[in-house]
Amino acid sequence: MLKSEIHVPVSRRNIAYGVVTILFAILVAKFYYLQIYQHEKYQELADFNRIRPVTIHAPRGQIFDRNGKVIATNRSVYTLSVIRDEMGDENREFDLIARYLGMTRQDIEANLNKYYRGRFLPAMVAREVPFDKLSLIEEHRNTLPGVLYSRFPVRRYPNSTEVNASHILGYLREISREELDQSESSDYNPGDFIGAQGIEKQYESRLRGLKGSLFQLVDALGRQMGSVKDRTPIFPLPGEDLHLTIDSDLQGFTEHLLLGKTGAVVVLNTKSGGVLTMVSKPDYPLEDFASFIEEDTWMKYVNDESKPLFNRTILGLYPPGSAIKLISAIAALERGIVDLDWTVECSGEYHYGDRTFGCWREEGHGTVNLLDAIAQSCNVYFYRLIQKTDLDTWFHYAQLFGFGENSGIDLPEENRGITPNKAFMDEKYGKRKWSRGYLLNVVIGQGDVLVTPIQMARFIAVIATRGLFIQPRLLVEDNFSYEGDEAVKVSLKETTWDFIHNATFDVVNSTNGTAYSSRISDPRIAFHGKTGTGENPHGDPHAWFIGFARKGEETIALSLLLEHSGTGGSSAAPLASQIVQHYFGIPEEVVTSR
Amino acid sequence: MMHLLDKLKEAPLRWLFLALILNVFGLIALYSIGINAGELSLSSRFFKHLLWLVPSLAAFIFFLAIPTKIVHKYAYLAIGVIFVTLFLPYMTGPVAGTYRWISLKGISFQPSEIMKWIIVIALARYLSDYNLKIKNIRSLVLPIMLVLIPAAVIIKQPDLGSAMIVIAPIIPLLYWVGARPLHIFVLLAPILSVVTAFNYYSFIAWILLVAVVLYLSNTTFKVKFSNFFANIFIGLLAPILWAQLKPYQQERFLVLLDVSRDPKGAAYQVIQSQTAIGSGGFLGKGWGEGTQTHLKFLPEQETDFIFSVIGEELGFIAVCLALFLFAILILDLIRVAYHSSERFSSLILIGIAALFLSHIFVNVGMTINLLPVKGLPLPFMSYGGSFLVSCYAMIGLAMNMSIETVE
Repeated sequence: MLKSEIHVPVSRRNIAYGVVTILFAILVAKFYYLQIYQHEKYQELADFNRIRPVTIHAPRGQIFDRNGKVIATNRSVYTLSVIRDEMGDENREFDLIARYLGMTRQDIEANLNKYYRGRFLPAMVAREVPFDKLSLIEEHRNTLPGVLYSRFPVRRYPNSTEVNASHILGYLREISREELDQSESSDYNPGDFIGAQGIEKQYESRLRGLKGSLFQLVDALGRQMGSVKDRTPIFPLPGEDLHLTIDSDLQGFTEHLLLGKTGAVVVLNTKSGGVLTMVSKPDYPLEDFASFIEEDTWMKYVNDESKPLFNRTILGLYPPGSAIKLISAIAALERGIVDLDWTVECSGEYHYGDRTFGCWREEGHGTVNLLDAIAQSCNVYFYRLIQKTDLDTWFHYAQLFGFGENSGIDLPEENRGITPNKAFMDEKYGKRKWSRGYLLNVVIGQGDVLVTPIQMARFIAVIATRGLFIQPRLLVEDNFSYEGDEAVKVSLKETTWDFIHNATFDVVNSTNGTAYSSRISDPRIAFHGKTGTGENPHGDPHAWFIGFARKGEETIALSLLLEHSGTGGSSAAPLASQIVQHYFGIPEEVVTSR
Repeated sequence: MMHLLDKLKEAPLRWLFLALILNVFGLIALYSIGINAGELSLSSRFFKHLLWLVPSLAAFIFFLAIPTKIVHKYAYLAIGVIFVTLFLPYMTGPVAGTYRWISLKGISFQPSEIMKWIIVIALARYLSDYNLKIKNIRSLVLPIMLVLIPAAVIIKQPDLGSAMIVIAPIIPLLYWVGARPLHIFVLLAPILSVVTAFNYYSFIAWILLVAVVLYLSNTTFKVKFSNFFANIFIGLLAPILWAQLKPYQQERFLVLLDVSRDPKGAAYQVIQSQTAIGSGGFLGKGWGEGTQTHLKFLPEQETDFIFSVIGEELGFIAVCLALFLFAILILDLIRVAYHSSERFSSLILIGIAALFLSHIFVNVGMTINLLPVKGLPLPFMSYGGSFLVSCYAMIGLAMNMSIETVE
């Protein structure tokens, strides 16, 4: 049976050899393709598998006041994220997370939608997870593959009860989708914080630092298997600490002084332009914005009619009232339009064309010269004075002191106000459609003239130093100085400066002065100022006081505005006086000397 | 009857050495897998695989020693018995939802595993007993039925991979006994008709080729005509056949065309295997250093994807060496089969070569996405005791058949 023989032709054997060889050659070719030709691609894929980069957030730079007192620092909160690709049964895991954290599935899914960037990237599902709940997650880690938590720095304001400074610091909020798309830096991710106002926004790039990365070795189930040996972690670069020119003691004092009022205060160091105090009331408590802002908290502030989020010191536009008369006085003296002996008889009203313009004191000031007119704030004097010149002359001097321009303070937005000139009026009302009578409004700071409190503070600061044109600033720069060639000077005649100093001194210190009740009796302090009352068609006038005070070598300038509060002399000046006394350390009993 | 030692002297011992070297490759990979898992105990797969060498070598000796006459005599009985055992899983109940395993008292056993090579022996006997007019296409029908019936049962288990392996040796065996190329073509044509039917243009091109080949062939018009339309018919049936596949089986075919279509599902294993192999590069990441292996990204790394472990840790060099050894083994089996003048022995050698080749090509092809993922082990390397035993048994049988028995 087994005798049957076989004789396979050699060609058949060779074909068999050939088929086997070809099959093995196909295998080898594909291995060559994968292992040699595409080696780098697969190397990357393998690394992508095993290495999970974990972001380490950089601590944001701290913010200090001029004396080194911390006004903004950091604390850590925990956030919980998921990597969908590494999750097992998503449904079950989301239910577990919701249970452990005491959240609803809806909350978790809403967050997931918001922060999802792709299957392989962590997406935040819960923020500010308390430590006890976090430990529940940690205990059940084995049943929650693809779930991880990380520390996230948020702001802490250690001295917020004494000093709020919310409008200076601004706040942080989560970066929006639009900002993410626009941002040139790819270092921002959804859920990251970005400065939204104030210093936080202005110096965002310096404050935020640079994120770092940890490289975790993970297995196929997303379990952490230690650190990757062949990659050194990238440590985060903390943000730069910033020192502000703010005097938090004065800032806090002023904030409390204006409690319940609506208004703005700017106090400047006249030498450096450093802002000692910047208060806008009402404001908002920083603590409400320290971490993730709740929607209803946010809406509460946005919808508040008193506009607590609005920084009145740089954005609020107000008619300057009589405080701006100093510009006319300067113009008159510089151009020789009138001399100090030129007098006007004030009867309490002034007729121009078919209109009657009143003085604020209805019974009139009697015979006044320039000095009296400033100290007593006589309108009629200035109505007459301005008839001798034109709008563009007035505009020239207003512009010289920075009106109509941004102050250049290091905050993200600013309003430059309106300082009318001939071109502006022609544009607004049409050529020859406005009369010179309009000048009567401008000269007493009404009509189209609109200024911000910071412009007013800088104006009076330039007067205080006899022409040093400072730029208000909040950040202490190490090698900054107004000495030497850098200094921009407003050059006026010495006699003009002398006169303005005398006049502003009289406003506060002469018995006829509009701010006499706010004088400071301490002989070491020279307190100058000018009151103003910005007429407001919508209600009570806005009260202004601008002024400067010198004690020894140190001079500070301030502007103070109270909305709808009556006259500058009665309501604004007394508060300004208290701020000055507080700054120079005058004891309480002297304060009440008015 | 020759004495065992005499047989060992005469038989090509190099096949055993090749088997042992390839076995060492598997052990190296299993050791690496175990070393990082910290489980190199006696119960680890490395040691178990090593221990399986004992029954394996016993099976090797048994099939080396068994007289050819006995093999020939009981071939049909054996296939009958094994055929019956294919139905036993339906009595013992399903394992993991399929009827592939007979599970008794914790020991499970896959009858189709044995069917693979019993069929080779039975076919060898049939094709050597009847020196049929093999060139006549009608004489091919019986051996084909011998293969297709068990294959049909195995498909139903369901185990498409094993069924294909059961069918695979018939083509080389028929070829070896002198089937005309046209007959091979006619046999293979329906398969290609199904495959090409997935695309309109490929099907048209294929049918045109069939027409040309049949037209040039030296057969009757009736044969030409019936074959041509049979292929078109089968091609048209393809969508129906496709619908018969389980969704996971369909996915495995589709993944071949586009790995990215389902990275978490069907393609996951293939992607991770290719990543392991590709990232290994020329020299590999080093023994025990394969990240894909040790961080468990590579699935089934001890069994189906053990060759990917070699590729990742020992690199292209080791891959080529292993493939070279496999190729040498198969080519040498063919060479000896060619020199054997005894029809039965020669056919068994060719059948065994075909079985090894199909396992190697399907398994390795799967790790590099040349072929769909099929749960076929790699001879001598994949962890799995019963398969290792059958591989050594086949080496024993092949060495046995290589000896000219002149009685």
